Amino acid sequence: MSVIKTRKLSKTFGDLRAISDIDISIREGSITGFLGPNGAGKSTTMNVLLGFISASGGEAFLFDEKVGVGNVRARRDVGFLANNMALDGSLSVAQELEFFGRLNKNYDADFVRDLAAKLGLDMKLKIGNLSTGNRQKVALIVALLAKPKLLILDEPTNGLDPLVQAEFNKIIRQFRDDGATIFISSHILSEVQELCDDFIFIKRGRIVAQMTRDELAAGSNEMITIKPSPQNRAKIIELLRKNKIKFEQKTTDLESTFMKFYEDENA
Amino acid sequence: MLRTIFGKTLFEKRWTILIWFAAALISIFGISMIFPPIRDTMGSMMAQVPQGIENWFGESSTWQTFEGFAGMEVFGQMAILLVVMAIVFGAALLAGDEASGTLLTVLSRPVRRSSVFWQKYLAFVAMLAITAIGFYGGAILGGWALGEAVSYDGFALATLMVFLLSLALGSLAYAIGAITGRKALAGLIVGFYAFVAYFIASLSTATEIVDKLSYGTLFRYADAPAVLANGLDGRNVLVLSLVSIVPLLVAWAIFIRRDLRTR
Repeated sequence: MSVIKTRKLSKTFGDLRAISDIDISIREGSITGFLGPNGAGKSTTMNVLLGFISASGGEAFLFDEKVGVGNVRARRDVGFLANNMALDGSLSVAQELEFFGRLNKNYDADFVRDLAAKLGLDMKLKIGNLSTGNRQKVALIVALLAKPKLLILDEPTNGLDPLVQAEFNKIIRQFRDDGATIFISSHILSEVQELCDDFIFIKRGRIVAQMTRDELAAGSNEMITIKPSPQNRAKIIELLRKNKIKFEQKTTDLESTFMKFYEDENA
Repeated sequence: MLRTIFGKTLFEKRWTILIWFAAALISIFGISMIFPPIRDTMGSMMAQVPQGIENWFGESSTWQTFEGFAGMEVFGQMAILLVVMAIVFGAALLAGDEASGTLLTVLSRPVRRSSVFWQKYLAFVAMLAITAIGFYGGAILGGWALGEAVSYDGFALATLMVFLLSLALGSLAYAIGAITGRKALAGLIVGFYAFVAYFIASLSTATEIVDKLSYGTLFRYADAPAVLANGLDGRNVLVLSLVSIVPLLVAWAIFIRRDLRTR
């Protein structure tokens, strides 16, 4: 079953054609990465799916329900999180989550408290006093609090530190394991590659490729990573050279070093 | 309180509402305190000025009673206080949420746009009503403090007309905000209209042309001295109510269909 399906979906803003004839299909239970540079049409596609803006042509379906500006039913089981999602700064975390929780029929206060605890959020703090990362955690809980069957994430970890990114990804994976479908756009390609089962590439408002993880792997050169100890490092390099095997030397990347230093702090 | 958009809006604005309520109560009470010196100076001054100027400022007998003074100053001139509040909140409540992005966060939940539109509007009406109560309370307290006779019903009706006038202008601002998604534009358009209309209505007795022009100003239909003297005029209530409702319905029909501002 396709959780998201679009047929020739288009959107124009005046003379600008933001997306053209988008045909995508997102299978149930998958994490699909939606990739493209700024202005490619990722957010526009998501905004049409969420009914924030109307399509200029074509049609879109969520759970076989036609998407439209006024159709609340289509997004009944959808959670949405965007980068820098706006929240009311005057309320406490608990008040904000209670309000958004009560907008849903199946509000489960215990579930929300558990999520907040898992993310290390202090429910008593005012939203206005939170850091960007903690605000985004609140927005993530807002997206998840109704236990949605579909999560639409528009660059959710953009601007967040790697620790928070890792936490987000852990929770997103957990949701997928519980049966949810995730449609995510991100500029952080390493994150998308690690997280996603399927990939859709969009360029200048048009879909240029849609592939699974296996298809992506089949089309690329296989790379083996060897992490030698300082003692046998020279021996391995010599062996590779002797056998005329091409290799690339890479020092430890900054992200893994950073994670090594700080991940315990977050546990 | 946080179970509905209506409740949340009032909760969020609780301190602002309190400040406006207190501002209305204190300023109207303060204005009432100047009645004794005004009575003495205006009473003797108006007896000596030409008829045209007397029409403008009000007959000398009007300034001799607290009720007359309240009609001219409190419910006439000071109505602008409630009007300003109505325009500021009308323009900002929905369009402000759209500009800040909080509207999108709410609409990412299974919530109808209609529901957001009407609940926010009801919150606006409630905020205005609370401030109007402060307005009424200030006038009553002023009368008590001066030991003057107070017309509770008359003051209530005059407050109602000031409330309806503010509601009409605030609703216009709300409607423009809902249609365009731009609070500054909504505030500017209605604020400019209110500024011009206020002056035209104030000068309506000066010449016949200005008097005719004043039919285009909503201030003419909230004529507090006339309400205190003759009671409510149903036609004026109808005009102010229609100006509140019609643009609102048009704005609602557009708001539930249009593209929202996404960042």
